[in-house]
Amino acid sequence: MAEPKTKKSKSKKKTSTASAKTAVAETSFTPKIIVFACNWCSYAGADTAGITKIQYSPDFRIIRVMCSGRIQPSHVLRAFEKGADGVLVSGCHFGDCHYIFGNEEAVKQFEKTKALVELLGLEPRRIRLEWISAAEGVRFGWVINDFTEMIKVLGPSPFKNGAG
Amino acid sequence: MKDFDALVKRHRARLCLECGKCTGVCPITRYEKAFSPRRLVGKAITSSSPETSLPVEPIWSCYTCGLCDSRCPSGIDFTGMMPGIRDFVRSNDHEPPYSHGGTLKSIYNLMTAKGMEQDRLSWLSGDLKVSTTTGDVLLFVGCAPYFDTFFSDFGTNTLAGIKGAIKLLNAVGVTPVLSPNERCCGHDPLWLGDEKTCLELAQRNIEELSKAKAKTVLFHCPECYLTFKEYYPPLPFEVKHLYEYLEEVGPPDFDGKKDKAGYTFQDPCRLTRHLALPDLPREYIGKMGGIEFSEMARSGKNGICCGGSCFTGCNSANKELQADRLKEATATGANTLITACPKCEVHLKCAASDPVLKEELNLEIKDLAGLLAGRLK
Repeated sequence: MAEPKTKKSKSKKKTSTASAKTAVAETSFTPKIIVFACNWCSYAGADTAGITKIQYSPDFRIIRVMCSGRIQPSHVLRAFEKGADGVLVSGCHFGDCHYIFGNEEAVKQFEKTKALVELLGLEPRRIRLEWISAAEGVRFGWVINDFTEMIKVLGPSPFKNGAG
Repeated sequence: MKDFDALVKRHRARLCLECGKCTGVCPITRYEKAFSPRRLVGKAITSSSPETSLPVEPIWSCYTCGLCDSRCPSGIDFTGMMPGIRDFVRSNDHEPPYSHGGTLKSIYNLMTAKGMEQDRLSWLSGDLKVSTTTGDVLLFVGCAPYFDTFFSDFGTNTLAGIKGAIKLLNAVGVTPVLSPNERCCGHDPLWLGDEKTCLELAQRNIEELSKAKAKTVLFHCPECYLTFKEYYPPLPFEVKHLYEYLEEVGPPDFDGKKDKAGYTFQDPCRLTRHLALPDLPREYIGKMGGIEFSEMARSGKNGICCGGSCFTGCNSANKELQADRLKEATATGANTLITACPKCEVHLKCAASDPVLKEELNLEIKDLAGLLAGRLK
């Protein structure tokens, strides 16, 4: 009787610690993600996601900008300065840009941002550039979930406390 | 307004004779009518309520280059008063008009974080003998890796100066330590009236640099040198400018190769006026030998600033000043402008990248240390 009991309790303990661990991973760190979404495609994509009632992670704050090309290194660094754990920049697909070449400019600015973020010692995976059209509600939800998972794996930003 | 009174007293502003020499000599007043050091001093000493009467916008235009101080017959420290005035203006909810969307401000603010691990030495190549752990001599790199990344659009290469400095040190048998996690020196927040951030950065820097156990810390950038030397809390190491150190240990030999290109020199305001070392870079220009060197009309202690000291309020006035300065450089017959400060290089290269000016000028802008390293025997 004694043996199985200990076994049972042991296994119970194991599962409880395992579940506790995942619970800790899930609850103790709620990432703060900033999403810069362009007015014409990605922000409308977020609307579509809402209208079609797609479930996705709520740990992000969306900031609407007229064009993804507006997002310069300063905006992304400012987000990290204010305690963001990850920054997503989202615009129209190539060829779909409302301003014809705004998203091409976004790529240029994003490359520069990435280089600066790497210099600062942040994982480049903390920033992401995505193209989401107004019809891609499902894709919006998927990108947000995927990015949130990534940030959860990376953990809090080293600049979370004591900067800015 | 006790604090403001103390500030005015500390910098002798009440001794103003209203002669207006400061405004007459000020390079900004020439291009930006709203800015006048004399008017600012006048407002600061006569107003009973400086919080409402100080003109806010022009406050951020000052380059703090120190030319006005050098002319003041009463010895008013206008430049020294500027951080205090700015701090005062800031506390009334006026943020500086940061250029470049505040990217460089964000960078130094992020650098106040304790647990950061930068990747700032990836530019090192095999021909540069350096250590990243411990040693007697440390070379402070400063913001050069960030400048070269952020200002890559117009061919900024401030790291050429740092690489040159390493080569010069190697040539005299020194293997400098480079700190993999040094921070911004805090020059910009200090002069923008944010002393708190500067002191935080100072603390981080002292912690990081102490890890190398170096006895001497060398500087290539005059701004970093000035900040460490004059504004940091007591340091556990000695600070020296690169050229001061080379003088001490005996400078390396240069090949003295004949070069037909004409050269001229842009005085960094921090080195020439704040640290009063105008001859230091010139000695090394002389040591190169074989070059045709001519001074600009306004040089040395009368030199004009590169136009934009703390990355704030860059506008058409700055650009005009820079364009005129570049034209002054070409008027000497030179086709290479030597700088000794990474910021001079950034600002002047930015102005020179103007499509119209570019053709007119045909001027190369190079860092002194980089040039010297290319002429080592």
